[in-house]
Amino acid sequence: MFGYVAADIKGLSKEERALYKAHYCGLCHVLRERYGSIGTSTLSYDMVFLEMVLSDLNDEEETEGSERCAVHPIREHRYIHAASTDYAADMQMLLGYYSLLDNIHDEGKGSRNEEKFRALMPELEARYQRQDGRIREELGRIARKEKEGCKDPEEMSLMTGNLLGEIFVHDDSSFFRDDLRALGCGIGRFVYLLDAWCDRKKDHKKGLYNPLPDGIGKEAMKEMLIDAAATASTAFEHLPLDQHVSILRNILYSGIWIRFEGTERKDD
Amino acid sequence: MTDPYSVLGLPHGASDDEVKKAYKRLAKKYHPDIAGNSEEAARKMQEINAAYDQIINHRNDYQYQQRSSSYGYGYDGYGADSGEPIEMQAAVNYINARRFMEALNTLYSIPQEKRSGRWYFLSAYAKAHTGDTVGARRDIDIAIQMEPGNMSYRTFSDNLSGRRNAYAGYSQSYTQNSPGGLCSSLCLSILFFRFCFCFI
Repeated sequence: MFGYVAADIKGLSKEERALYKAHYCGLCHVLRERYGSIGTSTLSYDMVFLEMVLSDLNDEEETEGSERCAVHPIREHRYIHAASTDYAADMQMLLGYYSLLDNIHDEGKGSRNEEKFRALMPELEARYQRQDGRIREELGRIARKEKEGCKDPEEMSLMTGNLLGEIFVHDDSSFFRDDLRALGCGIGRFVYLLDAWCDRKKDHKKGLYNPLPDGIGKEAMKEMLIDAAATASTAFEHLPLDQHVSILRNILYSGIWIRFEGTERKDD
Repeated sequence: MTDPYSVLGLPHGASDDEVKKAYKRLAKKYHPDIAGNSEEAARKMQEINAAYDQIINHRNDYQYQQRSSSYGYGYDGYGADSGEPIEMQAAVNYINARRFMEALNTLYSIPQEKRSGRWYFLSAYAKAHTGDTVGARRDIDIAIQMEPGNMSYRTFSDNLSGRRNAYAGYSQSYTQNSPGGLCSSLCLSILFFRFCFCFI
């Protein structure tokens, strides 16, 4: 989706780095196997996070493989597959499709893959009616609010939050359903706000919509981001996770800030 | 009252990490895929869920210590005869079962003119638990306006701010101390504000 939900690699041990990378390669592997090159074109760290949360939560059996791929043709590398890898890949495809439509709408590009995507959609839509319905509903709401020129970033971010919250709920009957929803919602709010922050100058120049008030300061921005991140981490700490918890905490407490701190430095 | 730690086979006061590990071990054991669809296993699973919830989400509930009902962090009947719409009780039941979306749907079926301070409090609570802390803050402010003397509402409002500070503090120490530095999960459990409440 945005790729902001990634680990701060410097903060991981050597073993953790290898494990994190193997999960990333696992998602890439499944996307390629199931959907070919348009599958891998959607790959993002955001869904690796989801995969690692769900596979830990459900205590899934993780199988390992090793392969060479187009991106790393020389060195054989390890990948990890769990039941949730398939779910994360499917969610990645749903999000990738709607993001493609959005790009076509905004900038008139990306149409080369459109037909391939469209062919895959009916099956995914039928299989994930709840998630797909929610994505459509929230995207429709975002579009309407954008048209109205809404300048309330927190109201806007909640729609992406609700969308991602629904995606994090892999199983509607899970006892942890609403903790997963709140985790996804906090992360969705965070990435929407961060994306608006990163794009604000470009949007201004091109005359595109941006929810942030003109001239918003770093501190005000940080306050909103902290609120979203705190929402996510409160829910996260409720979940009975024990296998990937140290990598996931790295992402939630440190990794997600890298881009923001990066733009801070550039702006100073 | 059944001690939630003993349900999980742990000594009283075990750490969060131990609680989480024990929960997962038992959840696996009583999972329908392994235990089959027996009533006994389903009942056991409910007990395990309730015990987990009690420890992780409600450890600091003062009322929990005082109450004699099973996992009594719930609603104790106050307000039942005060002319409250019946949906309010249903919403509280949903909240106690951690079904926050259903709680919100039920609350929103109550017409605007019947929404009390308590309505706004319950709505704020459920919203915070589905990730909408912005809406939660708006609602708890209204609840406080309607009932300025209600300390529970103020405590909840402070909790919302407390979480942000806790996150900010932990995030900062995390970056400074990583990798695997001073700040362990122990530090986290001290800093991290437990977001719990009791509907009294």
